[in-house]
Amino acid sequence: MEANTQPPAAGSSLDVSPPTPPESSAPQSPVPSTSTTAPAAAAAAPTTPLSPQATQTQQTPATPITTPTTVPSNPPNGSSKDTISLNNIITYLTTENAEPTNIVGYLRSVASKDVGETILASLLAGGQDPLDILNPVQNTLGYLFILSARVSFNDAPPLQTAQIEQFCINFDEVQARLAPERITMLAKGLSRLAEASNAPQLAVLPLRYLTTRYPPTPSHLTTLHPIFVRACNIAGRPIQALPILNNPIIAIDTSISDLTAFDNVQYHYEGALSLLDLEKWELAEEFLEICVTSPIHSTPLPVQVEALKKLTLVQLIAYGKTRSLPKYTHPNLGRAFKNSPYSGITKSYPQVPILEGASDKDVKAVQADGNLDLVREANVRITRWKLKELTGTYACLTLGEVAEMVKAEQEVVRELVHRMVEEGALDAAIDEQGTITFADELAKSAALSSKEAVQKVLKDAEVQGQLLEQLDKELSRNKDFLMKALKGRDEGLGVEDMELYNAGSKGQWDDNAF
Amino acid sequence: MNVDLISDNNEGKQPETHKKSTVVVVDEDHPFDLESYISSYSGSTAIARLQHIATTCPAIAKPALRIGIQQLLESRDTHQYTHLTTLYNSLATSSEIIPINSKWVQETAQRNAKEKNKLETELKTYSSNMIKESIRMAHRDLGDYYRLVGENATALKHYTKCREYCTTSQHILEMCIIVLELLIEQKNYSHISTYVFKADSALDTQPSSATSTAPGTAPKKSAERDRVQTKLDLATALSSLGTGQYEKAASSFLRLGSLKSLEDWNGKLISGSDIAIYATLCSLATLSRSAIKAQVLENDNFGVYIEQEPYVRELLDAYMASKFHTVLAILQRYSTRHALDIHLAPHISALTVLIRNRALVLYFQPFQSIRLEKMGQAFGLSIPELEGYLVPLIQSGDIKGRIDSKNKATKSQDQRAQLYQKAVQTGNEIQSTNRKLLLRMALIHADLVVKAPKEKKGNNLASEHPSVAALYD
Repeated sequence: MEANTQPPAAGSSLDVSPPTPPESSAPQSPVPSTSTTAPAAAAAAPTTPLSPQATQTQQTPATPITTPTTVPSNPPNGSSKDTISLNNIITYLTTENAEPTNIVGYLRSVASKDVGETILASLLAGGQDPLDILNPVQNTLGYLFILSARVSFNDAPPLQTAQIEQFCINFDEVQARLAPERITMLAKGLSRLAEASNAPQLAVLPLRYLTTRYPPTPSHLTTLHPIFVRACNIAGRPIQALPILNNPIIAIDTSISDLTAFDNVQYHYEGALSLLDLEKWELAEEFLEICVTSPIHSTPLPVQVEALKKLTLVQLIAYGKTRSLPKYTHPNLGRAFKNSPYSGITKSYPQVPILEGASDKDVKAVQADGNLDLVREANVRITRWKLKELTGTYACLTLGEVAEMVKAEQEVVRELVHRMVEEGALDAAIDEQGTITFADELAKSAALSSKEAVQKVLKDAEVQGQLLEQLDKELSRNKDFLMKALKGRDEGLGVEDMELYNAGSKGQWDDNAF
Repeated sequence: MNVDLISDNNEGKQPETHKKSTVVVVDEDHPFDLESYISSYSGSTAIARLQHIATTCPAIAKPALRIGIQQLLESRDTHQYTHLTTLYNSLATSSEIIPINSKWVQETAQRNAKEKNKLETELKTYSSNMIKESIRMAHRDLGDYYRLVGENATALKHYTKCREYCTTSQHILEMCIIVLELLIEQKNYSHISTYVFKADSALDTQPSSATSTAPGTAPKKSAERDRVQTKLDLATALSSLGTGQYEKAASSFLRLGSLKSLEDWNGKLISGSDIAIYATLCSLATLSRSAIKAQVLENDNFGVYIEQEPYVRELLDAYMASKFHTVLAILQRYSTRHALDIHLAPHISALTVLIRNRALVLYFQPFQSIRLEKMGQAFGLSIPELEGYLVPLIQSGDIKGRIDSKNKATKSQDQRAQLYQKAVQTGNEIQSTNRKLLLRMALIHADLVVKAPKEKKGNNLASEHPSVAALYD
């Protein structure tokens, strides 16, 4: 499609005309002279400034190039833009000190061409791997584009683990954030590759570095998060995801990551699955709740309904009773849940174990959802909740009495008390005669009401307060909000006027009556 | 109609206090003097009460029925009479059987029929004449007649019809009062409030018309209101009691004016001692001690009522002096008297429970720890019984303490520590909620909302084309 023939340029194959002459150079000189590929001799004069946008008209030669060596015999077109060759790209990247934004624009334009990706994913003439030439720190963007292209194509030249890891450990976040869609592509490609080669755990480490280093703060959500957590789950190593999961998400910045609504839902769902594996019930409950309450227009996603089912079970495990969903949950979700068997089978917990007396159909449904483990855990904890209830009423009981009230064997009760004390869920002591003394709240609260604890709590609250204030300020700057507020105020004024008018006239009327 | 009334009585009057069986016993520990009790009542109330007593307490059923039959002979209600006599005869031995005085029955029936015809013809005439006032009076007379004969439902129907022809608020007021009497007799508590409200508004419309005509009549109208106000208050109080709203009932009872202002209601419907008992029990069950002191003991009006029934004073004194043993003992002693009262019987168990719970909570308040034995002595309860009462109280949070089963004592909990704990917990919860809200706001702000189903997954920010969305995974 580009058929321009250019006047034979100088032998130099620098087509890609960076504004500054090539002599400036960069330590690694790209090897243009050796490549015989220089045919794309475009605007020979490097003086023609090549604005990145203009290159869009460039097309690579009609014949798709698999190796740059065979690159175009077609000369570049006349609008002074060039044919793309990997060499040129590399040269540009390494020898020019262009602004990162320019680099991004350029690379994006390359990628947007039909064979742009293929070019990026190929080797240099001579079989060299462009990644060996580029520096992951200084040429983050270039490295990123190439790497992401390489992992996304099945027949791209294979990568070495070192290359991937080097990048993920060392890349320059600021530069990388200029091309969020490539990061996403890279992550997706990595996990796909790992799965395809039956070694899913290979993707975990690089993704972890990416996810930890890329977002500006740990509380920003990026497209990396769901991909990473999912990879951990598939690889069977949920604990790797734990450090990331421990940071709650509160910020969304779409300029640094091309997020979709599904990312939020998926991240919190996969995160919850990891946490359930690690038996961190309370945190899992929070994740599931966020997944379920993600804003939707009208129809909940199937994954949200699944999350709701798990949420009910996890709430029973963590708190012994279900909690109502926040007010802003979409009602359609509640309806979908009511139609499932879960609302019925969990109603009389903890008096009645879940699924006891449930129909076969219900049992099969729960099994199909993969929730039988959760059900089992919840049922096991029934004794625990009964015991906890007792602590509210009694200060001291014998083992026998407890066993009777809880309807379990004495030995079982003793063991349960031990376990609960270890976990910190209960404060009690058993003495030789088999009397259980439930400590007063005093012991627990002594720790809580210490000066440091109170100060810490106050500080946390203060930080949050500041965050909210800032949000408030931002909101008041918002144009929509201001418009609505003004409109309301105007209408209000109108009403007041009317009232004044009426009151005045009434007064007059009464005077006249007398 | 009376038949229905009796069956209602039967269902309502199975008092199941934890201490008594469904049949009430009269003996030395539960004194009850039938003669003096029934002497304070006259008219249809007396009959109803006697019937209730007969059904709930077989020991004095026979004397009660006998008195009832005698009184009925002086009324004109033949159905009631026949019914009671049959009932009596089924209980009595052969020597005591009273034969039905068929002559009286026939005579009365004839008289009734004659009068009914007369009234009905009158009504027809007036209706054709379309003179509102006469129609109203005819309906009213018919209503009165049916009351005498004992057909309360028809009576009510006529009274409601005469409402349509009422012209002045005075008429409305009269009508409301009569209907209220009927409703109280029938124990139809839910409708009482409607009619009280109607009467109230009728009273209110009077003063405005008064000011427009002549200023002199204003004081007279307010006297009218005073007269009627006591009756209305009593009606409200009874309806609150009947529907189980004991606190409202207590405040209404304590607001009542003097006994005199009840005029004809006193005796026809209710007696002073009844009011004293209802008021005391309701206030003990729902009011705090200081409230009781202020409203009951220092209430002059109420003092009159208390005179009527001396044990009520004993009860109040014991409660204020924290002699809970005495309180419970008195309640137990007079349980018969309470169970045999038509208005109180269905509520006596609930009221006893409430009073006992309050007493337990009050008793425990000043202590940090007390042995159950001592507490049991103070109340006259055994330890297992006491424990049984305490556990629900602790669980419901009324008593803030825990039972030490080994030492059989109750320990109170450190409130301050609990408060700290609760505060920290709440703080954490709020933080967590805020975090989630912040995230939600950020999501909505960035328009990351799951859109309509045809785009199976989420929507791409950059474009709204479903096809593009499909690219994502």
